[in-house]
Amino acid sequence: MGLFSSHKNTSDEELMRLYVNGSKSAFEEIYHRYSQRLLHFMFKMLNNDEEKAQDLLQDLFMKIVERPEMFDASRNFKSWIFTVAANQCRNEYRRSHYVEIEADDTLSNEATDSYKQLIAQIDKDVFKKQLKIELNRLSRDHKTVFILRIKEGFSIKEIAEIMDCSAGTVKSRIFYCVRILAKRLEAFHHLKTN
Amino acid sequence: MSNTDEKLLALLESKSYNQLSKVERDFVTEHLSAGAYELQREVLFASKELVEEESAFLTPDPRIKSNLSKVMAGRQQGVSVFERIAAYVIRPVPAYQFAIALALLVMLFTWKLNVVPIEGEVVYKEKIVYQELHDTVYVDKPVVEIQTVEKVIRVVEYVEQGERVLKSNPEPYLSEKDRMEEATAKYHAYAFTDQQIQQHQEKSFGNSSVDTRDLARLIGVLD
Repeated sequence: MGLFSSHKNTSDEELMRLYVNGSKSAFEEIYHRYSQRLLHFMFKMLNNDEEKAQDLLQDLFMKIVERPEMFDASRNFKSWIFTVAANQCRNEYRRSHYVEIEADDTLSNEATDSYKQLIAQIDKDVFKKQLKIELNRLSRDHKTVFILRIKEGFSIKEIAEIMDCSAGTVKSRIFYCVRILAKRLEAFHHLKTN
Repeated sequence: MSNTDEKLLALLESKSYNQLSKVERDFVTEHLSAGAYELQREVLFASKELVEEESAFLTPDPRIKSNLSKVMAGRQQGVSVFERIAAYVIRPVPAYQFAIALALLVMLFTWKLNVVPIEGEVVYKEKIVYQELHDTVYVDKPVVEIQTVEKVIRVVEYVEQGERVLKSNPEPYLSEKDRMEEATAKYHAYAFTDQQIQQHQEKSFGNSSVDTRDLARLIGVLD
């Protein structure tokens, strides 16, 4: 570390300022705080493509190393870095023609019945596995918004900033995710409560 | 998404159906059944748990950090020592703090202007200030001569004198005097009989002197 052995109590914004002025330890602290979280976020946005997520993570931090001044000091660092990560993933989508798995919002009764029968036979671990599948079935934007909310704890306003959309859209997407997931996992819930 | 949905989401994130107040429960049941509420809540928390678990299995490739370090080392060569020190010394100051500091600076500057005469030359006056210091010094001196001094001490006491006025009532005296004069006048005007004189002499056991007072009493002039 640099002059001070620890940056644990230093804000993200202050760390960036220190790094701009040459503090390597400040950058290391930022990397320590965000690398894992950003990797997971990208991983989810890229439909669980870990290799691509690792590449994009390196690209993102490389940009910060080379051009730290691109961070607007008046902004919240966490929101800013997730915005950059979200934009990178969007660009990657466009470039690589990722196949968007469209969410099937309206489940037919037939499908629901068979689904219920299937889920009725599984235990909690399987429920989680199924939930994982259902989470990945969500559209990229829904998934992104949902993860930013439930994992990163961003406010509606911050998510709107990261996703470059209105707060209303963010609210709508979050609630949609909750409803659609509940609907798809309804059979399991009946099994538990019965 | 309406405010209703937003409120529902906030409740889902914070309270189970059993934890809802009566008002909140009424609000929820207007839009969802109790079962649907619990299901959505369960999905929300299960998703969060799942995402956390999934995240724990993902670790950034260690090569990323080493690659970044290499790039950073090259970049740091271009940063001067002064810039590195300045990074620790100079801190960003909020706008309001800067405004206050500026205002104080202006106030100090204008105050200075009032003190120092603007017109004419600036004269520097030298002022000598003497400071008086007091100290206690003990000196040991040998005794050369012993003198006896007799001293008469006179004590003068001042006594405050008061005047006491004794007032006599002349009336009793005067009345007695008048009475005696009156009795005397009666006495002289009275013609004693021989019998009276004889009685008196018998009373006085043969004394030759005649107490006129007794005579006077005899005739009832005196009490």
